[in-house]
Amino acid sequence: MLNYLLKRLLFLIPTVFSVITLVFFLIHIIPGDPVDFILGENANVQDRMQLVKTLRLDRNLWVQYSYFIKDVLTLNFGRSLFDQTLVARLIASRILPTFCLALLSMVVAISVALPLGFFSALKQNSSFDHMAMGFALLGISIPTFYSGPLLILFFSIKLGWLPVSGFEQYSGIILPALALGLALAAMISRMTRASMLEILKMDFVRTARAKGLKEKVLLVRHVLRCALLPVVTIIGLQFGALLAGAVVTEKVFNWPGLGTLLITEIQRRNYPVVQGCVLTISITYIVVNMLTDIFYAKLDPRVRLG
Amino acid sequence: MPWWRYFLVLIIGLGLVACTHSKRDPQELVVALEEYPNQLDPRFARGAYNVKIAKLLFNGLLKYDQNLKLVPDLAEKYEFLSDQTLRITLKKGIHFHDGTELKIDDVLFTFQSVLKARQNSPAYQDFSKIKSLEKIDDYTLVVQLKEPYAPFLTALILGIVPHLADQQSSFKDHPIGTGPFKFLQQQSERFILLEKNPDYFAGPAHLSRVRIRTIKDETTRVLELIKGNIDLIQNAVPPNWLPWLTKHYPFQVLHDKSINYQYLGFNLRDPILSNVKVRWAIAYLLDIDNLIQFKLKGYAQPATGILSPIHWAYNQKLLGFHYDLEKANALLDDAGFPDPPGEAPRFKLTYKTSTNASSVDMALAIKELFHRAHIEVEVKPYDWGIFYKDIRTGNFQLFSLLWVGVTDPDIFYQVFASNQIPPHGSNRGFYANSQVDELAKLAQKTYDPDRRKSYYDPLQEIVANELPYVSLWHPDNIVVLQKDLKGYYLTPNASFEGLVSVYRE
Repeated sequence: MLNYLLKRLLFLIPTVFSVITLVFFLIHIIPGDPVDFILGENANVQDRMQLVKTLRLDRNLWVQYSYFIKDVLTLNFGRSLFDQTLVARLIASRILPTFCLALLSMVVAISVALPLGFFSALKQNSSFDHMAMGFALLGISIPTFYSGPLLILFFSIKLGWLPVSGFEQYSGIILPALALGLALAAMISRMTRASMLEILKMDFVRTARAKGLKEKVLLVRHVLRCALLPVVTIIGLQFGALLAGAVVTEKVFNWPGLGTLLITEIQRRNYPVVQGCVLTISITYIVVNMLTDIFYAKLDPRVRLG
Repeated sequence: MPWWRYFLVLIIGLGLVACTHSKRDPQELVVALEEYPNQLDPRFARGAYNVKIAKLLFNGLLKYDQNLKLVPDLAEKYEFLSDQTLRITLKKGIHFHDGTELKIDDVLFTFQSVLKARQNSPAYQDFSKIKSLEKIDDYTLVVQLKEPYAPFLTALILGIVPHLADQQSSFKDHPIGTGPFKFLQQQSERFILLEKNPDYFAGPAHLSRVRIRTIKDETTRVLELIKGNIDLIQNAVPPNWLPWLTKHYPFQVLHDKSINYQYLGFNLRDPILSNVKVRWAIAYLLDIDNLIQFKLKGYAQPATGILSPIHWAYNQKLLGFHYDLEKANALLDDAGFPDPPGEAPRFKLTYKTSTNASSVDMALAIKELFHRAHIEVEVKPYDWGIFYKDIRTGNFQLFSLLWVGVTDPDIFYQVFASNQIPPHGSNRGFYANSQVDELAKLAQKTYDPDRRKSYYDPLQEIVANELPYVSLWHPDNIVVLQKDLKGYYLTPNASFEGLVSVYRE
């Protein structure tokens, strides 16, 4: 296991390196210039040139890239081009809200999706199954920019239970977590159901029943466990995506997450912040995938890490 | 555990958490903004929201009144000793929020730090006309200009900061001014909390605190208003939502004329659009009245030029264009672009816009109007960075943008003078007319408003005939308030100065 972890951590280096290299060149190649945003239109040529020089934008792209890599290696992520705030500080302020929202959304998703998928598979083609899969279809089809305001209308405006938006009260996390979690639950429940149905048809299930294994033990300990393998992969990938920020949900619920920061800064070509965000997101993604693999091995004894 | 119990737990959880709701303080007014104002130092504040919120904390030497005339604010008086020498006298007994008295050293420091910051300060352009600054006594300053320059007076609305501002590391995070509100606390990207300055020289505000909340999503902003968590939204509720909103909820909606200007810009180096008859035809094609009525629900005034009819330099003789398809077709025929038989268009144009939903919506409506005269328009929405770069580098045929807060008529120089073609200046369409250049320069050298107007009147007529822009409209300033709020008023530049007089009934 330790060997496996070390290997994965070593693998992290070229992956992160490739991602940040790609992002560095992409963000510099697309048209648009931070100087335009910082100085506005009325700046004279001399002052524009001075700022371009200060930001090292006058150098060859490869030279800029070498500076960037040097900064990354020395853990210096620089400052925002606009208000000189440390990039590390900006990102740090977004990590906690992003992580809390991702975690709670996943809790909502799993607690809704697993029972729904499990019982739908057991009662295939029953009215419960149709209702559950109808819900799943709705969840997948309705985008968050629509479901978000609907949730606000119902829980905040109509019932008055929860705040409309924001991070000021703890309860502010519930609605965005529900919006994200229910959409995810839709996908996971369909996956669980399909996977369960496949396992239920397998020979070992028939054998176990023939041998007189209790139905509850068979379903939970054998069928569900096997059925969870593909589901865990999806959960891992989705959790990684949630940690990268859920831009639409963050905007609708005014949630100070990493996704909104990244999009805002891409729009105004704030290179250091974009690069810092991408670095954080890519490391998070890889670590979450690694944890998923470990969990996968725990579920399936045939998988050996090493 | 049966699956439905999970839901039960979730619902009970929601209910319990709901009990933790805090009550709103009636002495606190909550304002929602679209963007977070992250630079409140008036010397460096760019962007409408930074400037407007900074104005609540700081005062300038002069300010605009309701008629857009410059009147003394921190200054007791100002007088020109010659056309290049200005003497400014401060009011006595004005204090900063930390209790220190405002003196001419603070004004001197503010001006000098802008000059030192060069282009890092948006005020530098006007301040660069200063030749020297001379302190006469603690309350008097003489400013010597390099040349007569009328727009310099507008530079004097810049907020004055204490002379020790740059020595206090906390100033950036905790700005101190002389304004009607004191800075209390902020949480980046979320809110700024201000409290009233009880010693404000022009009379303290009625309410104790103002919380400026940033809510980027327009739906969420309105839902927060409906919920009662927001008291006031200014120019950040889409006009087409207002009929529904006022029908179902008892909000007050105030609206008044603004000094913002929406226009359609042309690239005059384009072989088709360089033909003035084509530009006239386009002006006749744009059914402004209907666009205002259906897209903006009537919350705008048709524009005849950059200046709003409420501006002192507005030329009343300008008539503008009214929709006339026949005239448009005749002009296009005359310009050498006859309507070919069949489905083929007269010519094709590209209309660039940002990805902002209402901008794209408007572009599509305009495309349909062009189609009536068989002009094919391709609408291309771009991310703001790319769009802005294209506009600044002349990589466009048509675009539409908004000039916000047109206070000084010197804007004609910035956007139409032939030496203001980017990268230095805002003449994005490459317009050149020596008469316009001359009139704009003459108006810069004259302080008397009547004489300035006598230069701007013919200038406005030339521009209205040559159409480097087609004027669309001046969108109204709109504020939506909770019904118990009284005393708020709108200003032409959509400032938040009405927050001083607002109170709960």
